[in-house]
Amino acid sequence: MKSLKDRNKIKIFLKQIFIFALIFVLWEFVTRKALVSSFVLPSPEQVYETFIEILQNGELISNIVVSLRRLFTGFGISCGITFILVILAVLSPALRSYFQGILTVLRHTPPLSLIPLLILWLGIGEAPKITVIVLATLFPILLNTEHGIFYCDKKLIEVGQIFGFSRKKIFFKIMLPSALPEILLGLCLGIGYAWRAIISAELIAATSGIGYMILDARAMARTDKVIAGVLVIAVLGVVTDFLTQKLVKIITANR
Amino acid sequence: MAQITVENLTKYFETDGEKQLVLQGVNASFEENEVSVILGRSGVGKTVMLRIMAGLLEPSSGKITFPGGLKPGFVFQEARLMPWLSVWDNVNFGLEKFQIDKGKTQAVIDLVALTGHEKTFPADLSGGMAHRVALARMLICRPRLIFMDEPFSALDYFTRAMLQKELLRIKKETGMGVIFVTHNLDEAVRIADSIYVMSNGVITEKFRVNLTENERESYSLKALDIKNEILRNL
Repeated sequence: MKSLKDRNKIKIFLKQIFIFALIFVLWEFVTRKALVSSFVLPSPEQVYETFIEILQNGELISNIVVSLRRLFTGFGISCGITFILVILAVLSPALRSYFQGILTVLRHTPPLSLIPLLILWLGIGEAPKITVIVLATLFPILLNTEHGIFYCDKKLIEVGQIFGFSRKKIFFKIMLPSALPEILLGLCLGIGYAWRAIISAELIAATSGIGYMILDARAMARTDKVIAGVLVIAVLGVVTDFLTQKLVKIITANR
Repeated sequence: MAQITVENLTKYFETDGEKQLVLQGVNASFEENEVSVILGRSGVGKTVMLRIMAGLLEPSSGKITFPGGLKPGFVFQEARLMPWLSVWDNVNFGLEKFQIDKGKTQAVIDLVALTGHEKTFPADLSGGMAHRVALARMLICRPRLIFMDEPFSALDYFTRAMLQKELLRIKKETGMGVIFVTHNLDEAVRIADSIYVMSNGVITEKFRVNLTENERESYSLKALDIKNEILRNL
């Protein structure tokens, strides 16, 4: 006998699946009745066959690997920058004021709009692509981490003061662990933004990557391949999001 | 017997350029190993005085003298536990990592009657239990003196009465001194060796409470006498 909670979960899941099924049936119907040309909207079977084809000939996997490498390099650099900036701001609150203006301006600049400049300055190699990822991921990571650290409950910091903790000890024993849920939230958002930015990044004279694969397929009028690529990105995004959420839940289980 | 003395302590806060005098020259001396209760209405400066004595606030002027080597502890009005740490780790929070002696931690947890809750997290503790963890976190450092800022005021009547008794028992076992701030007259008479009455930023009166545990109960006539005397001065 399943509990009420489990049954509700299944109900919600079925409702979500229903919409996907509806879209699929419509898609199938429209393509089978040839209401639109197969160039504009290829049939599900065609997309599936293409998916299997690029999966078997290794094209998909190798492009995903390239994209993932860019994604995690950019993500890692954003984490590094955040770590350095936050440590500096903790050591010297005055320094924090210097950076706030420039960071606000950068935050409101769409990374996409900087692509021409990035090509001009950094060429067409890996550097501008990774920079786009960094620009897309830095702010959710940095702002959430900063908020978590600097809006730490003063009452908890006082407990450290009573025990005679140094500033360093207060940072590592109180501020950092208390900010952990917000830091993790920033990282989750960052990963999500990175997936969305990967296409913009691979707009820049790329010769590999899942974004490149989609753009190339469009140039070759392979709509089936475009749709297969987009679906793969969506699924990978959902999977990453699911995994990071699970990880956050495990780490913050006791709060 | 060693004493903690407070001389001419003043403190003002500035809001919108206006000086607000909270402590207007407090003079007092507290016995190191007694329970001293600072009693007064809300807003007379009790907490400010305690926070200055504990080094959490700077005084505007005045002097505080502690007996040599005295490192006082502090128990706040709220438990202020680290939500990400278990009871066990919260109790060990103030210690250096390499100093942790399991027997000592267990002994303190037993002392505050939390045996069996070592692995519980703050979110799953009741208010009274959380306050006992906060007390244990201080006790493990073996302070000779603990400041307590209305530590039981947010608790219900029964939990408060129980914790007051526990505090006296622990005090007896460890021999530590307590400087305790409260606005609750019953509480003051129940636990105090001396009561310092505070009003308008100064200490106006000091009462000795020489009563047995039973005489401190609220139905006792002797307790009533002291309360009446204090009320006349409040």
